Amino acid sequence: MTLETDVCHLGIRQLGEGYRRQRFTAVEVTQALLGRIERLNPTLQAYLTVTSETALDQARSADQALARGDHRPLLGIPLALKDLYLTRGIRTTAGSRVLWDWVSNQDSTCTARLREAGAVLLGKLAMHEFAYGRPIKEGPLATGKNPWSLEHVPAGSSSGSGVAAAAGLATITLGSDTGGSIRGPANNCAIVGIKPTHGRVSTRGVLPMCWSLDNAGPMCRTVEDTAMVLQAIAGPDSADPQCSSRPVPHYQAALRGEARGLRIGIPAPGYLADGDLHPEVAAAVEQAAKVLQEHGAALSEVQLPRAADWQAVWNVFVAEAYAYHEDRLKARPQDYTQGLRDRLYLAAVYTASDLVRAQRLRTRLVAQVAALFRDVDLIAMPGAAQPPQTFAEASEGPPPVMLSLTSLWNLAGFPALTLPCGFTRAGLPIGLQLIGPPFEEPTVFRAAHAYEQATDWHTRRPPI
Amino acid sequence: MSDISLSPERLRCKLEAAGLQLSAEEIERLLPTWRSHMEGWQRQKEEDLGETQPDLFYQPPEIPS
Repeated sequence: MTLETDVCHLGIRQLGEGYRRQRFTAVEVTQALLGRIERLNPTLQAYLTVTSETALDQARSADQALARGDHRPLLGIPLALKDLYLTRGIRTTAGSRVLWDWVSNQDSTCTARLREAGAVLLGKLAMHEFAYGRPIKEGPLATGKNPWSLEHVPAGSSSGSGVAAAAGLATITLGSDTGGSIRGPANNCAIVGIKPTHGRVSTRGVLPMCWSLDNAGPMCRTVEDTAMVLQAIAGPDSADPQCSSRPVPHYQAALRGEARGLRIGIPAPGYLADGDLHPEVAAAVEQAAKVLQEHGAALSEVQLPRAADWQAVWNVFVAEAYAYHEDRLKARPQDYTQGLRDRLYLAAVYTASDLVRAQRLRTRLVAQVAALFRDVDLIAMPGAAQPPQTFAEASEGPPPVMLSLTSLWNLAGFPALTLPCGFTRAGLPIGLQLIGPPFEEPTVFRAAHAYEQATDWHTRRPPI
Repeated sequence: MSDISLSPERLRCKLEAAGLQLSAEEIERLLPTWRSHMEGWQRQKEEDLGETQPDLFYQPPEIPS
């Protein structure tokens, strides 16, 4: 067994223990990961930029700090960022020719907090163009391939984050989520991703898609790692007017591996059109709910609004993305891919009256789903309605139904986590989505951890 | 699709109103998704209108002559 196979799939706590017991150094771990990236990235296309020198410098600093007895939990932990997080001195492309050579002179708040925590930045990750373009299989703007099946999309828009975490090309990654862009890749790549409560994590220095729906969040291989990264990036930021001033609870304290007493709502049939929910997905999620029940949770039915309704409202809010791109799109349309151009044009035709009405409808939807949490602590539902699509399926036709199962929680701003809960007969991942009321990330983590500890999905590795 | 309000010409007008001049080929490409979005959005608007302005749908009883 090589150091690469030893360390590239270890979690944060295991790496930290290894450093402190001097089984390996941060430099050795970083070198192992850089070697794995060099070997696998030409196939998986997870990274747009690999920052080898920066990473090794940071790893050397981490080793020195470890030798001084520094106990920061993320010290020396290999990290990669979706390429819309600003990184001082390192290019940030948003997966687009529009920003291909752009180098910011500042860090996003998340980047800065992870630097301060001692994480080692391996590079910047592929993504769907400006978090809203279509998947691209080959070429310089390639959005990454699913390590479970190279013909299938990892989902987006945080596609590279999902691929890198699943394939052991980073220990921790960050993504962003406006309609499901963290939870989609978590679902398709069999990893854990959380869209925190809107305002829980600063989005300063994260290139926007839609200001009122955007969220920054971690994507990792386990619930514990995800909780530890959220701990490091969450919290007030006076530079982000949407960021909450609420204190951040201790998320790891919620990871007790038990679900006793939790009241979990299961959506009654009817929120999706007949036939939209794949039978293997339905069966896996039903089985996951049973596992939680066996571990002490009480299940009951809840009535969600129809997915078609919330999706129609979400579509109008993409006008926010159009507003962000309008001037550049008109001046330099050829710099955008056709996939993103088309989607932005579709957002341009909504009127001011539509947007005002969508805001009213959004308020009603939020009130409707908030009322469900009077009777339950969490809602459990599929991460996506269908198994991962092939590139051919995803590159044409309307957006997949998958978006419909996640975007409600962006409209509401509630925390939502997706973790693996099975595989199809074809070997493609299936995800379970757990949603809580605002700022109840501890409850979401508690249930997710209980489920993870009761199953072994998170221990499986993609066949690469 | 026979609904004139979802015709290619209607989409072209809406795009022009937003300051966007697209080719006929681009408009054809956008059409299926635009129609799907508009049909979904129209349903939402009608339901909302029904709740907020019910008098629009109120039919007064016929006055006997």
